[in-house]
Amino acid sequence: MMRLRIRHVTTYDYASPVAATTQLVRMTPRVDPGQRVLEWNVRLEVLPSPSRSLHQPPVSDEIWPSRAMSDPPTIPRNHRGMDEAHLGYASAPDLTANDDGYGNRTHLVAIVGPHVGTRLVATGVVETSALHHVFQDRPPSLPTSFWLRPTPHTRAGPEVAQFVREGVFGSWATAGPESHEKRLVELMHRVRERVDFRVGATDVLTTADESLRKGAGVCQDHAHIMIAVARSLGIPARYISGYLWPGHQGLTQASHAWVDAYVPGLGWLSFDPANACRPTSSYVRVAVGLDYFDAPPVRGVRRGGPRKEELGVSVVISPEPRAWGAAAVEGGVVAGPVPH
Amino acid sequence: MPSRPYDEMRGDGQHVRHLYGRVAAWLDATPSSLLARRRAEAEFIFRRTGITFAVYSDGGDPDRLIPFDIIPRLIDADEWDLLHRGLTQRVRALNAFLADAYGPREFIRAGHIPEALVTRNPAFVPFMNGFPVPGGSHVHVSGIDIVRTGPSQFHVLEDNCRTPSGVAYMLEDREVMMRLFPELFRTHRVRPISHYPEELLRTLQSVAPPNCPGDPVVVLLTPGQYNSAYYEHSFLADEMGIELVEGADLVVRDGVVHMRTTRGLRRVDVIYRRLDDAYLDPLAFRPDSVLGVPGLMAAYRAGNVTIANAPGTGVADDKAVYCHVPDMIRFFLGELPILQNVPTWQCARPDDLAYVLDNLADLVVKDVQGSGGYGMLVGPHATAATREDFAGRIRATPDRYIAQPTLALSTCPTFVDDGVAPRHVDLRPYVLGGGSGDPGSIDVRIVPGGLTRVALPEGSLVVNSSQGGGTKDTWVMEREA
Repeated sequence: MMRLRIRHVTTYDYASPVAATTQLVRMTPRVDPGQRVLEWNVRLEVLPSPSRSLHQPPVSDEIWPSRAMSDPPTIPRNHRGMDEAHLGYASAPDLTANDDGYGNRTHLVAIVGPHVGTRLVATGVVETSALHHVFQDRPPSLPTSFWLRPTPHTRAGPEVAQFVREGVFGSWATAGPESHEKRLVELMHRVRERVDFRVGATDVLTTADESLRKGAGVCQDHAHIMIAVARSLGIPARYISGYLWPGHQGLTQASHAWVDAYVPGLGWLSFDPANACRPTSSYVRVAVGLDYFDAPPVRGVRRGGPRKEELGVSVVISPEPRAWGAAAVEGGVVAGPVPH
Repeated sequence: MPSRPYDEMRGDGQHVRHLYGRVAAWLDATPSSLLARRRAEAEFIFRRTGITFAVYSDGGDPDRLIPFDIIPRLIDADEWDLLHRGLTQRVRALNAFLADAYGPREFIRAGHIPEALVTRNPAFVPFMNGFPVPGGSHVHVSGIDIVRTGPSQFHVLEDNCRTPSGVAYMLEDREVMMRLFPELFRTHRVRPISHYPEELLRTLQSVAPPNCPGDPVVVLLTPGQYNSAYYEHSFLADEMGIELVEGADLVVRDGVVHMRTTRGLRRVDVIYRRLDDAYLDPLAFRPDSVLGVPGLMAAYRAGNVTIANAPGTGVADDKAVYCHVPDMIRFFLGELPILQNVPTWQCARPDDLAYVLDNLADLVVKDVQGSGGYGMLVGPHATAATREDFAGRIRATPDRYIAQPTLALSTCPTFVDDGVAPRHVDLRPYVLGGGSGDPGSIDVRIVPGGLTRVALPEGSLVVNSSQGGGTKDTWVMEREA
């Protein structure tokens, strides 16, 4: 058992004002067997455009077609949530909270009116147990066969197919549950051996096939590859995004991604191919999906503003003092590099 | 194929049915030259009104006029009564199936349908999982394609539960007939259909979301003027007296959908969307969609807006799922199906596949995800080479195909180049499903009749407008006193 205090801050800074921002945010730990959310809060702060009356934001839409806005700009009026050093940030009205069909908690961010920055602050405490790597879904969960659906990023292309042929993953059908688990562990190790952890080698649009060809990627790519292989072998698999407390070795804490795979007779098992290990109580599950695009912390569109934004992400995880002893006993320390 | 199909006017024989007595007399008394003149007038009216149907696949002027045939197709009161009951039952069962597919999935658990047909169906929308839709209705507007093969043999050829189009033609065909042939119309007691837009609006208002503050504000969301059915979108919005909007006209704020107006933002409660699921919301579906409304799905799940039809209804009209509709009627409603399916072979089953490949020359083969008559083989009319080519595709991905016997669709007298001659027809009634709270007994409204589609080339069985089909006005007769 472990208690983790988490603070996840995401800031977007724009060199010129943005006319509108809409985002779907997944930053709340899931209600899953093996973890309990003791407290959690997601807050949005908006930095309004300082000179909004002087010039209208240039309309160089990245996603929407250009179109003048007919409604007058409005700025959230609630200034109570003034935050630390970021003077000028005003906390926005309540975010609309929802379920996205996967049981992930979503918050909808909708800012209308010129702004030059936003800040999402998710904070809280989660209690995790080391046993959560085998479990059954809670209703209204999707049937396990749903998790066999291929997606563009987890499609078994030629590289994945070749990787499967090279492996010893065959004859799944005849193997028992324990041997399934053993083979999934082996698959996890082989993915890690084949694909170096290298930041910048890939981007969010990279597919499992491309990353495998490059032999490099980050946790998202490792997860996509393992999912692609598992599904091509008829094993339901899904993408997990969440937090990982890296223990004593790491100083920077991180957002992370790993994989669930379903073994009939056992249930869902978790694997972390990026670190080549099985998740422990150091892992906090935030969102599940068919691939990254179902489960990112933020998915958004904006109108106006500069071509690129300055994105800042900071995740700080610290075990609550009371649980220190327990964590050390369980060996919550994760070896290897800590991807972000 | 049987030598002679059932004829709507003459039945199985040479004698004109009582129903068609006055139409037959009118045809006998009217010279071809006059019919030709009236047809030209009709075309002129359609052209001036701007009723065109864009077909982009084969070059040339994409804004085509759908040919209109001036001879009406008649349905008597008993026939309509049967169809009405059958359609009501079928759409209620389809709706109950959808509520179940995104809810408890009891139909799957009871073994009535393979789980993969639902969960791995490309039309399945996980965002809908576990979400009880407002009023219990997923299918607010459906078009159920009916074919007739005998005096009382009506079959459902396919269900269209996504964004079926064509209802504007149903309404305009009637307008034109009343203008061109007032005398013929006066001698028949034809049940009116002009209240369809009112019924549609009432249906949409009946599914207002839980957080709707007052009288629901309804809008029609169109992909824009380049959509093949844009004329229909603007026509229906006009007739209902509601705003026609594009994605960029809508914005989600505080979890609520608003439309931009000249006087600021106005709350929107129900969206009749004529946009495919994949384009509805770039935050939930295709991230590159510029046609949709970011945040729409979150607003929907928050109970702040209703999307009609509900996303994910395509799971119910897949041609492989179609085979299971009679079972749905028994399972969800505890009733016997009133309208029969066309016998269907599923190529995913090895025995069926073998049969289909051996009998391609007699069968119609369809892509389970296809629509509009594309991706389809009409065995008897195809060359041996085309059949061989198609057989290869079936062998490669058998799951994608189903096959049906080449039905002797009923014929109806039609005015063609060499005079009045029988041509094959089908019927697409538009079924409205309003909220009642219970998915198995949604409030069904159907204006009498629907759109009769006619295959104009002699012998052709393909009625789709994208494949050269035309339309006819459909007259459902009042019950005689």
